[in-house]
Amino acid sequence: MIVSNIEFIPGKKITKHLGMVQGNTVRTKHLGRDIMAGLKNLVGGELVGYTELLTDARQEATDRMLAQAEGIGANAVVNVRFSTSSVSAGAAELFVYGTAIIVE
Amino acid sequence: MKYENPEVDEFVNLPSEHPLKDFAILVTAVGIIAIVSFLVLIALAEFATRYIPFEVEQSLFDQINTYTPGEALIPESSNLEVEQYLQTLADRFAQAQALPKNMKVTVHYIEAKEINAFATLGGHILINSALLARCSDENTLAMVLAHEIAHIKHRHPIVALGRGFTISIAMLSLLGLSESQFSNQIVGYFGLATQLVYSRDNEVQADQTALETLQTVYGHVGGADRLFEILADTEGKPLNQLFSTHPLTESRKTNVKTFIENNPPLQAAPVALPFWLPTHGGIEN
Amino acid sequence: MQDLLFFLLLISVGYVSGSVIERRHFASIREREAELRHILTFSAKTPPPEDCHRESAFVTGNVVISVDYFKHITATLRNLIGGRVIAYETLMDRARREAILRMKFEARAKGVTRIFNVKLETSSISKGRANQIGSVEVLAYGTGLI
Repeated sequence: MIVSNIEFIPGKKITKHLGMVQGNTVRTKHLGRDIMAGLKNLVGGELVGYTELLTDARQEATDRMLAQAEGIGANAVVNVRFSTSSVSAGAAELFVYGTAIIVE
Repeated sequence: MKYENPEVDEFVNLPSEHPLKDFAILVTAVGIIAIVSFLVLIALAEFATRYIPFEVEQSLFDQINTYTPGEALIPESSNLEVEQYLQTLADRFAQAQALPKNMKVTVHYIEAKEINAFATLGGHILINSALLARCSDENTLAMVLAHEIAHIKHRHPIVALGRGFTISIAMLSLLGLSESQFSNQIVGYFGLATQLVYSRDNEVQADQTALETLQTVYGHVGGADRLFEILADTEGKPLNQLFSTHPLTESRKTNVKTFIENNPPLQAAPVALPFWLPTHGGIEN
Repeated sequence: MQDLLFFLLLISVGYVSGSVIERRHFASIREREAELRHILTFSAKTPPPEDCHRESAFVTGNVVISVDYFKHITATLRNLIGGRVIAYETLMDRARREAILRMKFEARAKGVTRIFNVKLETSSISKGRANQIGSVEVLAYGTGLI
């Protein structure tokens, strides 16, 4: 499955457009990460726990989108965009969407 | 196609001011705004609360005293005889101060370990046994009573209530805008400082009226400095005094000296307290 | 009085540690930017025609950076007066450059030398209470050409 965030796959020809595919996940932090965040909020610096959390969450959302694309028979997804929004206190929704296509 | 990746000037996006300088300016600005708004509101509050009738004060006091669960503002009297004596004295001073006819002063006497005396809403004054015990003569006791009656005369209790109330409301509304609890505290300290200054003005005014009363009734202000000796003994270090509402005892003593210079005593003998009064170091009759 | 002193202590700790961490981070960022200068990034959507035969790879990089207590208090005071919150400007700059650097690292690992359609997404992560900015996350992503 080829993924790209420009409108075409370089070096390949698009033969069919299969419409939009999306993947999303809502993640929240657990207590361990929370404690460190409280301390880091005092002294500053990178919140490694959160970074990992969000990276994993994004990966999961992307996997879901790709699974959707595979399900409809695509072999590439173009024009991929991300969106993050805070759903409630402490929970964030990660949303990935793109256009599924068949290339050769 | 030729590609190049030159290094960009990162300082375009970074601020040139130092964060500490920025912080200092912010605190100063917030402080000035807070103090100015509080002063304006306090002036308005003090102006308005004087129009509240004394009868309303009295009923306010009755309500608070009866319905506060647990502790009444002023508990039951410890010794009715002493209270009656104090009431007689107080009535004398109230007359000397030309207290308006509708304003009645009620004196309460309570047993306690730490010296205390205060005037509150509705003309109620409290003196406790610890303070009475330290009074060596009637003049010292007179200074205490006259000072509290002066607070009543100048409507200080209701004005202080209005002031405190206004500041609380002002702070709540101002601070509703800020989210941080500690930011609130910064503004709170400015409010407190402003409040303290005005309470001290009231105390100075009460002192002055009390001295005048003593001069009228006794012909001299002998008890005043003895009272301030007692207070100086029991008060803490000067730093604590800075944060209390009473002016520093030293400055009160200075005011007495100034008063004596302007109003020379007509006679100097202190008047003795009744022998049956529970005091120490009383002058033998 | 005690509260005030404790509060001042927290602010000082926040300021000192925050500025040390920030300085070190900026030094590290400059070093890595020099190291990865050969990987080019473009915000253009379409690569030029002569590059269109190359293999592509999707690359991303993200980072979450927390504010320190000093920045937080400065921002809340700013809330009362208005104006530039300069304490946060350095924070955002760091986060953006770090995210782009991480994207470039992933690009290097995949053998990518040019990344097209680079997009940056910023979001704030609050810690429980609704209006408090606890930390900020920046995501950088783009399509790389090998």
